[in-house]
Amino acid sequence: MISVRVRMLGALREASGKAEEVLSFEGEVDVDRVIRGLIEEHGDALGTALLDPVLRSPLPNALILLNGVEVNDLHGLGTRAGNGDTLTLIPVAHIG
Amino acid sequence: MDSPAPLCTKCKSKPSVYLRPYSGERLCVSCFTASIRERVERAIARFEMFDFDSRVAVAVSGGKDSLNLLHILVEIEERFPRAELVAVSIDEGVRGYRDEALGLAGEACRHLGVEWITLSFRDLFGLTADEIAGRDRELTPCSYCGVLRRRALNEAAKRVGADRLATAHNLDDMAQTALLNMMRGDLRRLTGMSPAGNELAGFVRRVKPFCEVPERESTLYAYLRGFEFQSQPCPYAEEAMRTDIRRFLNRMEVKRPGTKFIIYRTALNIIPQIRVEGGPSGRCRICGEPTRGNVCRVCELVGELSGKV
Repeated sequence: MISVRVRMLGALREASGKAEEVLSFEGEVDVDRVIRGLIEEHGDALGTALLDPVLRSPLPNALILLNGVEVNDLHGLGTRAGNGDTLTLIPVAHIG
Repeated sequence: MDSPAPLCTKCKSKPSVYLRPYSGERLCVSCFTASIRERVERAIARFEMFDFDSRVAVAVSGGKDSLNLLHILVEIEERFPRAELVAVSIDEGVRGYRDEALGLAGEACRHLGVEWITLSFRDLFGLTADEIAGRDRELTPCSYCGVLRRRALNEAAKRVGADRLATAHNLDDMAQTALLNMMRGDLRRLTGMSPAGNELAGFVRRVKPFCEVPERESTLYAYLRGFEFQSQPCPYAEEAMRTDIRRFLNRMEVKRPGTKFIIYRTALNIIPQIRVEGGPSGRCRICGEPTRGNVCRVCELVGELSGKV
């Protein structure tokens, strides 16, 4: 079992109603699966805030850090997360 | 995590935390934060934004970009003892959204020891952005808000005796503005996006020191410096054409890194080729501010909303 702590900042915290959450997965898990799991947990409001409606990807809208390292500096959304890792999601565009 | 991050390509000693997709650089925390500050300093020098003794009004909305800009300008100002900074904020009157932002702006100014003033739409124009959004109107709320906010910032800068007004428009804002004005065929507005600003009678010169910092990097900078992020988005922004362009450009940037820089630089290359008539030559018969016609755009919009024009 792999447990990943997810921290949500700014408008993502508002959309999920939570600043932090721990998600558990059986077997290997990558960043993409953690984010999909998070959206399943919190529903449409978080999905709308996080995912680009055309690409269905969080990359255009959010800065995604795994243990403080931006995932594009690793293996993108395919970066594997380990037990006890922390994923931080920061919305990029704050409109207004 | 399946493998550690590679080393920083700049210092070659610390692990990187960020990959710049458009340049291939991998940067550690200290090289990344230093690079943002250097980029701001380069833009200030390249566009000759300030004099050594400028009194600069910094437009601080409370969002991450303006808080970043304020902190960096405070650091730069330490080397220029005759320069002065004053933070100015505009309360448009968007319940929740602006209240939170002004709280963050005030906190930052107190922490940094920077003088701070706030002007409101209510005091200047007699109505708030929430009231504008609730009225029968021809345009989106952002169209009114943008015009009134520009006037309010100019007024705030004049009131504090500033000779420059620094705004935190980032690279994304610049690329969006370029595309937006091209799509509208508005060449006059396109020339107005110059980061150096223009010297026009009645207007404090507006400069944009953050013009070459991508919004993603501004976000990371704010996170690494430990700044608080606003949680409330503006409730009216979804209606704006700019939002469509922002989404399109963010998508393009993921697929084709460097797109925003290319649009921005192309616009800067085009601007000197555009011939526009001089600035406002007359005065508004209602408020007395500079204008090209008899009534300025602010008075037109406020008049339309109150049924007087």
